[in-house]
Amino acid sequence: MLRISGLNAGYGGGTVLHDVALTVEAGRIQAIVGRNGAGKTTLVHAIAGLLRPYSGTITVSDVDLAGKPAHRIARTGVGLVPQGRRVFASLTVAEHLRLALAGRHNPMWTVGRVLDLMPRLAQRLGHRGNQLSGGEQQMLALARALLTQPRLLLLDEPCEGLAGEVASRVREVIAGLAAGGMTVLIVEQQLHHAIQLADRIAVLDYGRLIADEPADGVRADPAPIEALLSIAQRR
Amino acid sequence: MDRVDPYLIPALDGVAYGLLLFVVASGLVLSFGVAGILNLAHGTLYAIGAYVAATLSDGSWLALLLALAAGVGAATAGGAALSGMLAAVPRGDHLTQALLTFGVALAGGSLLVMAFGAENLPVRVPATVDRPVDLAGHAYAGYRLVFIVVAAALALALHAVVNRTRAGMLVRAAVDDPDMVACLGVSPARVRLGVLAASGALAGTAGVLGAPIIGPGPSTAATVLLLSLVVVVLGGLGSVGGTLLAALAVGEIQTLGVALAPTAAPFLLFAAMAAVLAARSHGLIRRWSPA
Repeated sequence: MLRISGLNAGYGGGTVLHDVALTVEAGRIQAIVGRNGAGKTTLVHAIAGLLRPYSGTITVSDVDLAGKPAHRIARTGVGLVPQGRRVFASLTVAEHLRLALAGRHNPMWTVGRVLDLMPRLAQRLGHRGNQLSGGEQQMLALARALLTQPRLLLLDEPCEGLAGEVASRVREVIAGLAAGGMTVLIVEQQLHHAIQLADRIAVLDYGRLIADEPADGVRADPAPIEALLSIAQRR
Repeated sequence: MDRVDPYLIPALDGVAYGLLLFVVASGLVLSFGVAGILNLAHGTLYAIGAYVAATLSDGSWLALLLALAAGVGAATAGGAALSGMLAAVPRGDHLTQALLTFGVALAGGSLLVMAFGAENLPVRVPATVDRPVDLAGHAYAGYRLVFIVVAAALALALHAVVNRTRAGMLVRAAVDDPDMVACLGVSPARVRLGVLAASGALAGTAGVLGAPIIGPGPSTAATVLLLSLVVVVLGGLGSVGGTLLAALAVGEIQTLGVALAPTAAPFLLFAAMAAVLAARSHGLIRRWSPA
């Protein structure tokens, strides 16, 4: 589904991602874990088209997306739930949903379907983005991304800053999406968050992918991955 | 009443002047707030509308409608052309944008003078609205009263478009976070084209309808641009309410202020701008809102 090879990307001439290669099979949840500044968000932005890579290929369902602008990548079926949610402060929940769905023919995800999945949003339709709680904003960011009809969903630290119960609900929704066949790439700083959801877990350190393991193995024995993250943290 | 009476006409003039500046400046707010483009050729787009009005107007309603169609069309095309010229300039590169659009403004100003001459041109309005109207014993230009009504209707329409239509949603979303708008599959280039064309349309509308108030001449583009920039600075980017409030304030300072304190007139506008910025660096109101 998603294949990345030889990806180099960064900002202002400086390289953040070095020769990253990763494959995510359709319908799977791939987690990327790493310390703060490891390059996780840079990777997500490069896939979503918010950052133009220096070199390398990024294909989704065999369509090369590397270097394409964000709006074209979104139209090929890549949805983004960004770090910090980035909901539109001046738009109501209903307007977010209408705007995200506009122009889609025979959508698989409709406003009704996302509201069934996240009923809390149905009670807040008239509230603006900046009037919502963190959990509601996260649900809205997820609903907005789903209404773009993605085949691949990129989630950048979706539980960051959320209370335990709300974070659990967000994880439930994500697990439900994957169970329904959605391919998910989720970026997390904490291994224990990633381990609850993922089929595979990769570790990014200083822009290099230093491990990519099946999550079952990591769940059975998290020590090797924890050691890698601990080494990365100390460096 | 006697103390208020001498200031009635300047105050009313201030409303007309302010509403005219609102229509022009909202185009500038759109282009900067949404497309991130500092368009120093915006005054030139107003001047195009004003020259078209002066050329086509013959005192009939048909001529006014023709001028409106031609002036708005030309300014809209001008805005769209600017969008094309600015396509290669990064969104945040305001210096390059300013230099490019300033060059367009200089070239455009020279071309307008070549085409229409170096004199200020008179503009004829339809005879039915050209008559003076009696207001508390003062004769007041009927066209200005009509203009106040039309400009107020335009302000309401703009408010409705921003708050009630999909285009308005897109505008507000793009002010908030243009990258996230792109992640919904909306082309930023299309948004920029639409916004600059709409911005040109507002300038052209103001130019045609406001030509009897700020008429076409060699200094029109610069005057309108300067006053619009003051309105934008005072009103804050991305706020319909702030732009309207600031435009009315500038209009009153330019008319009522001059009547009340003629010796301070040259400094009033910029003193007011400095005072507002010192107290509220983001302007009077922060962003597009129903307020």
